[in-house]
Amino acid sequence: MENNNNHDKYFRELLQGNYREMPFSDFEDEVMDEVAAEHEKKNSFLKNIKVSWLFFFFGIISGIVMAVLSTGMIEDSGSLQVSLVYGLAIIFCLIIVFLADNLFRLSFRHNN
Amino acid sequence: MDDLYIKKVLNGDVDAFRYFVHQYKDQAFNIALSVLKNEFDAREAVQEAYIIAFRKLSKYRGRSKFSTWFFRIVINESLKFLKRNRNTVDIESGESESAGPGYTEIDDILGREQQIFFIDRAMKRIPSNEALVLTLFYIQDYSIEEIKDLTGWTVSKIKVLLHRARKSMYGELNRELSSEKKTLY
Repeated sequence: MENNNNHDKYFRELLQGNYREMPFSDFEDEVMDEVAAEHEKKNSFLKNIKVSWLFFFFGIISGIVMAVLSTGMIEDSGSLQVSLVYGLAIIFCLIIVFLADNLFRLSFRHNN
Repeated sequence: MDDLYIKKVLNGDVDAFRYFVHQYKDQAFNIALSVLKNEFDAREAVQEAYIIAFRKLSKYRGRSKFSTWFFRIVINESLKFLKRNRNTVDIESGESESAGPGYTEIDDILGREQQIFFIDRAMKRIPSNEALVLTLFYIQDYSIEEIKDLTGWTVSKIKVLLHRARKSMYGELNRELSSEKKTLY
């Protein structure tokens, strides 16, 4: 047991001389530059997410307004045009779901 | 002290992060160097570890010391770096079987500066995981439990690695001393 302790003590003394200081004098500055760039990137990313949500809601509102307006015009026309409008409405809904899903994922992943 | 600077950084004071860079760069460099055996690679791994630490600082919950959390990132980055450049040193390479010189012999033959030189060379030759465990245990003074937290290895694996590492070091030093003796006489 004592032999083991001496062994450890000796090894510690022997190896501690091998402790090295960072030999690159510009290391701190370079890391801080990269950290600042990372911070900037994060900020612009947050800004982009906000803008994306804004345009997403703007798109939804515009879509609803257009749909209401076009329904009034279509009421007077034939059944073919009605089914065309329903088809477009379904496509519109799918696009909204797809974009909302992407935006949620992006915002959620970022928060994590 | 660490907690104060963590709060500052999380509140948007990016310059406060310099405290961590200044405080832990040498220890991180030694850890990375023990794994990667090359100063430039070690610098790159430590730099990457700092960026990751900055990016993930909001996830640090304070369950362990900041240094433990950060050095875990340094070890992971160094091991990743090693995997990418697999041609350098094999982390699981075989142990050196040669019997080492007694430690009085090392002291007798070498002066302090020479000792450092040869130990440095020997550290570069032994497998990365052995060098890492030696650095953490003998140079950074971590306990086996702390090394377990840092590396994720089991206690028995760490003890085996320490034993193997000491043997490998003696083996390498013995080889160095033999060639030194041949040059002297």
